[in-house]
Amino acid sequence: MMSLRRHRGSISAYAGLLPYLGFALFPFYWMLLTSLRKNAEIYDVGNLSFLVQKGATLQHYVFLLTRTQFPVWFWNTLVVSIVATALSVFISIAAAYGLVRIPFRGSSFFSIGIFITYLVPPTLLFIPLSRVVTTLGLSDSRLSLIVTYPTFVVPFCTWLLMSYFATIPKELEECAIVDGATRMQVLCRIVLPVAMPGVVTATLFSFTLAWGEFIYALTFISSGTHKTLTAGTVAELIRGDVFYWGPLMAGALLASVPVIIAYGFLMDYYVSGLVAGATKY
Amino acid sequence: MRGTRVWSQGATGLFLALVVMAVTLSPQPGICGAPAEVTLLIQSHFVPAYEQELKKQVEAWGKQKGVATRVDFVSTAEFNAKLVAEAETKAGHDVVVFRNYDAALYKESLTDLDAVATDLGNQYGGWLPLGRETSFFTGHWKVVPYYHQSFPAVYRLDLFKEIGVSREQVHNFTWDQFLDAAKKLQAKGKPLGFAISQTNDSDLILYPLLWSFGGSTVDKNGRVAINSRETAKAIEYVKELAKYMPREVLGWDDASNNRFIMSGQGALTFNPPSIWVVAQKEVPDIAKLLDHAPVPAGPAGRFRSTGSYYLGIWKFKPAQPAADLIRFLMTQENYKAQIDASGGFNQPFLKAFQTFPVWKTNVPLNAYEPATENLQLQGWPGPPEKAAAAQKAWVMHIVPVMFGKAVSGASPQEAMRWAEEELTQLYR
Amino acid sequence: MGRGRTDATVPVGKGEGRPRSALPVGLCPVRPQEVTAFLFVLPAVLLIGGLVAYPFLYALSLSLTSKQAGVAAQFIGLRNFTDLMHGEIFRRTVRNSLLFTGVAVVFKTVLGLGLALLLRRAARGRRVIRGMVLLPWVVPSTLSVLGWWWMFDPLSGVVNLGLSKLGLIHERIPWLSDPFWAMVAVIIVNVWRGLPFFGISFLAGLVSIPEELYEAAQIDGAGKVACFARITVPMLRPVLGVIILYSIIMTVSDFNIVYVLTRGGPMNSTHLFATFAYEMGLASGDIGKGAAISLFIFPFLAAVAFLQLRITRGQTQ
Repeated sequence: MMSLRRHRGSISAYAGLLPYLGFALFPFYWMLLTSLRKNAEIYDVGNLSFLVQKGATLQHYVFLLTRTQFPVWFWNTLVVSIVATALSVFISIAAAYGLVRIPFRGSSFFSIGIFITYLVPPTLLFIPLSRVVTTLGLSDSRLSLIVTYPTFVVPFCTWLLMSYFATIPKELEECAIVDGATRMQVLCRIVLPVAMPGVVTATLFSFTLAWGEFIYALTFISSGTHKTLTAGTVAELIRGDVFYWGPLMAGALLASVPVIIAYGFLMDYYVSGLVAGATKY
Repeated sequence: MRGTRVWSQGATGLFLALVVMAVTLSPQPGICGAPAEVTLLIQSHFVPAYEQELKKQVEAWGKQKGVATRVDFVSTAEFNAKLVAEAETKAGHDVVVFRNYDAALYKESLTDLDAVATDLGNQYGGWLPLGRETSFFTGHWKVVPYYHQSFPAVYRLDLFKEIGVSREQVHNFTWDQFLDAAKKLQAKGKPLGFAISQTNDSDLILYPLLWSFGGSTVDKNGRVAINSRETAKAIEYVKELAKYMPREVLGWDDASNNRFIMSGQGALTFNPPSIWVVAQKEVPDIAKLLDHAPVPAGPAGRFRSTGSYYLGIWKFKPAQPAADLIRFLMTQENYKAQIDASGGFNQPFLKAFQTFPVWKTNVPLNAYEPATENLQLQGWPGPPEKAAAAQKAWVMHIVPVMFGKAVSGASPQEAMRWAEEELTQLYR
Repeated sequence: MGRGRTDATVPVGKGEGRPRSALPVGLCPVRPQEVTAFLFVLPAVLLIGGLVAYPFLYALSLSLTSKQAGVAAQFIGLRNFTDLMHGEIFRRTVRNSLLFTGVAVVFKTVLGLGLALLLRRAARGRRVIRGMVLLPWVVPSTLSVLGWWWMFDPLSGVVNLGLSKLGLIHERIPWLSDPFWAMVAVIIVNVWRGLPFFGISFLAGLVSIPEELYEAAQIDGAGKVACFARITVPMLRPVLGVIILYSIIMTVSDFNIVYVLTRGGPMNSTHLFATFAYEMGLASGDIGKGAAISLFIFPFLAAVAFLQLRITRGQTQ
C-alpha cells in the first residue's frame, strides 16, 4: 500500500517537473535549432517551425571554429576560470577556517567586512578597478582577470565554507592539536577531506561565475588573442547592426559545454555541499 | 592519512603549476620599458573584408617603419567603456578611432594633429564642413576625420512600384508624400518602419526629421530650444505616421530594421548599406530589389545624419610614429583600398575622395555617396563647446524617447516638456 | 557565523600548550594563535582591501565630483545625487529596480520551493534531471540572453508564435516595445536564469530536514499542508534567508539581462541602476554621475542585508 502511494507520488512529481524542465530547456533547444539552420531559413520569417526545415547544416559551427578566434577565447576562458577558481577557493578556505576556528580579536569585524563586500556590484567597481589593474601592470593580460575574479567569488564562498567548517566537530581537530599538529596540518589533513562537498560547491560556484563574467573581461582586455568567450563572441559576432545569428547561437552553446561537464560530474557533491553550507550556521 | 597528504600536496602543486602557466602565458606589455609597438583600436566593422584590409595596411606600414603593430577590434556597443577605461587609466592604444563627439569629450586627452589635418585637407580638396566642426576644438585639430556612415533610406523598388511610386519620386520625397506611401504600403501588408526607441538607429533618423521641420534640441547658442511650434509639428507628424508602421518599432534595436527588410516584410527603413551588403549574401532575391534614397524633405529642408569616425592619438602616448600611421592610412591609394574593401560602406570626409567609382558603378549606392542633404550630427546647430551635452543627449536617446512618448499617447506638449526638462539638465 | 567560537577552546599554537588566558580579550597581548589566524585571513583581506575596498572608496570619491572621462575631476559635493533625484529617468530607474527585484525574487522563491519539492520526490534519474534544471544558471548569461532576445523578437520570435499556436493569444504581444511587456520580459528571463539556483539550494535545505520530524507529525495526524507550514518552512528559514538575500543583491544589480534585451527601454521603462549607470558613466563619459547612480544601490542592499541577518540569526538562536 505504501509503496503504491509512493509510486504515485513519484509519478506526479515527474509530471510536475515537466513544465519546469520545458521552461528551462526550451531556449536551449531554440538556440540549437538556430545554430543548425541555414541562414536563409533563419531570416525567413514567414515559416516558423519547431524543426529544421530546409536541411540542417554545420556551417555555423565550422565558421565559428575556423573563421573566428573562438578556440583561442575558449582556451583563455578555461585558463582564467581554472586559475581564478583555484585562487578563490584557496583564499576562501584559508579565510573561512581562520574566522571560524581560530578566535581572535576583530574576527567578527572581518566577517562582516567580507560580507559587505559582496554588496558592491562589479558595475560600480570596474572603472577604479581598471586603474588599479593598470597600475599593477596587468592591463590586457589574463592575469588581470585571474586577480580580479576572486573579488566577487571569495565573499560568498567564504560565507559558505565558514558555515560548513562550523559543522565539523571540534573534537577531531582538538585531538590533533593536542598531538602537536599545526593549524595548517589540521586544516589539510582533517578538515578539508571532511568538508570536501563544501569545497566542491565553492569550486563549482566560483568556476561558473568566472566562466560567464563579462564586464571585467571586456574592460581589461582588448587584444583579440587574450579575449575570453563572452567578450570575444559579442565583439566578433555582433558588428554594429549585423548579427551573425547562426554562429552566435552555436557559440553560446559551445561556450556552455565545459561548465555543464563540470556540473555533470560533481552534481552530488554540489548538492550536499549546499546542504551544510546554506542551512546550518 | 597518507592519502590526504598526497592529495593536499598534489593540489598545491597543481595550483602553483597553473599560476605559473597563467603568468607565462600572459604577455604583459609595458612592464619592461617603452614598447616598440604601435597599436590601433577600432570598432568592429560589419564588413570583415575592411577589417582585413586595415590590418594588412597597418602591418605593411609597421614593416616599413620597423615597428610591431597590432589592431584591436571592439564591438561598437562596448567601445565607450573601452574609451573611458583608456582615458582614465592613461594606458591603452596609440591610435584610437573615435566617434561623433568623442573628440570634444576627450579633447583634453588628445594630441594636437594640426599638421596632419591641414596637410591632408590641402592635398585632397578640403574637408567636408562637418568634418572640421567635429574635429576642431580649442583652436586645434584634435582628431583627423576618418570616415562616416550615413543614414539614407533603403527601400524595395518593387513594392514602391506596386503602389505607383517611381524611383525618381522616392529620391525626391517630401514627408507628406512619405506618409502617403506609408498608408498605401500598410494596406498592402508590407509597411515601412524605422525605430522610435532607445537605440542609435532611432536618433539617426529622428534628428534629421526634427530638423527638416525646423525643430532642434538647442539653438546655435546652445540654449535648449526643443519646446517649439516646429517640434510640435514634427511630433504630430510622427504620431500620424506611426499609425502606419508596425507597433514594434517602439522596441526596435539596431538590428531590428535589418531583419525587417531582409525578411521581406518591410518596404523601407533608414539605414546605412549594411542591409544591402548582407542581403546580397544571405537573401539575394531581396538584395536585387533594394535601393538607397535621400531622406525626405520637410518644410525646413532636407537633412541626413551620420555616424562619424576619427583618428586620434592619446596625449599620454608618443605622437610619433603614430601620426605617421594616420598619414599612411589617409593617402589616396590606401584610403581607396579601404573604401573598396568596405564595399563603399565607408564614406570619406575629404572632397577629393568623394569621386571614387564604387558609388557610381553600384546603382543602389548612387544616393548614398555623396550625400546631397544637409549632413549634420546630433548636436546641430549647437556650438562646439556644448558637444559633451549633445553626446549625452544622444546616448540617453532623449529625442527618440520624446517621440516615443507621444506615439504612445502623450500629447506633443507633454512630450516636449519632458524633453526640455531632461535637456536642460544636460546643457547646463 | 563562527558559532564555534562561543565554546571554550583548547590551547593552540605551534606546539605550545599554554592554557587560555582568563583576561578579557581586549586586554590580552597578541597571542600566537592570533598571528596564525591573521595569516589565514590575510590573503582574503589583501584581496578585498586592494581590489574592492580601495576601488569602492575611489568610486565614492568619484561620485562627489563632476568627473568626465579624461578630464581632471572637480569636487561638486552632493550635486550629482541631487541632480539625479530631480531627473525623471532616475526616478523611473528606482521604480523599475524595486519592481523588477521584488517581483522576480518572489517568483523565484515560490517557484524555486516548488521545484525543490518536486526534485526531492523524483529519485530516478536524479542527476540528469538536476543537471538539466541547472542549465539556465550555468550558461554564461550574455550569451543565453541573446537567445531570449531572438525568441522575443516581434517578427521572428518564437514566443509569440508558440503562444498563438497554443491559442493563448490572438494578437502579437509587443514584448520589447511596450513598457509593461518589456518589464514582464526581463522578469521572465531573470526568473528563468535564477530559478535553478533557488531550486537546487532549497533542495539542499530540504534534504537536510530530518525525516523523523515528518514521521512524528504524521503520527500526530498532521496533513500535508500543516507539515509544510509547520516543519518545512521554519526549517528552511536559514536557507531562505541566505538565498533570498543573495538573489536580491544579484537581481537589483543585474546588468546583462536588461542590457542585452532592452538596453533600458522602451522609454527607460526597464532601466536598472546598473544599466543606467553604464549609460551615464560609460556611454557618455560622465563617470561622476555613473558612480553616483551605482552607489544608490549600496545603502538599500546594506539595509536588506542587515534585516536578513537579523531574521535568520534570530531564528537559529
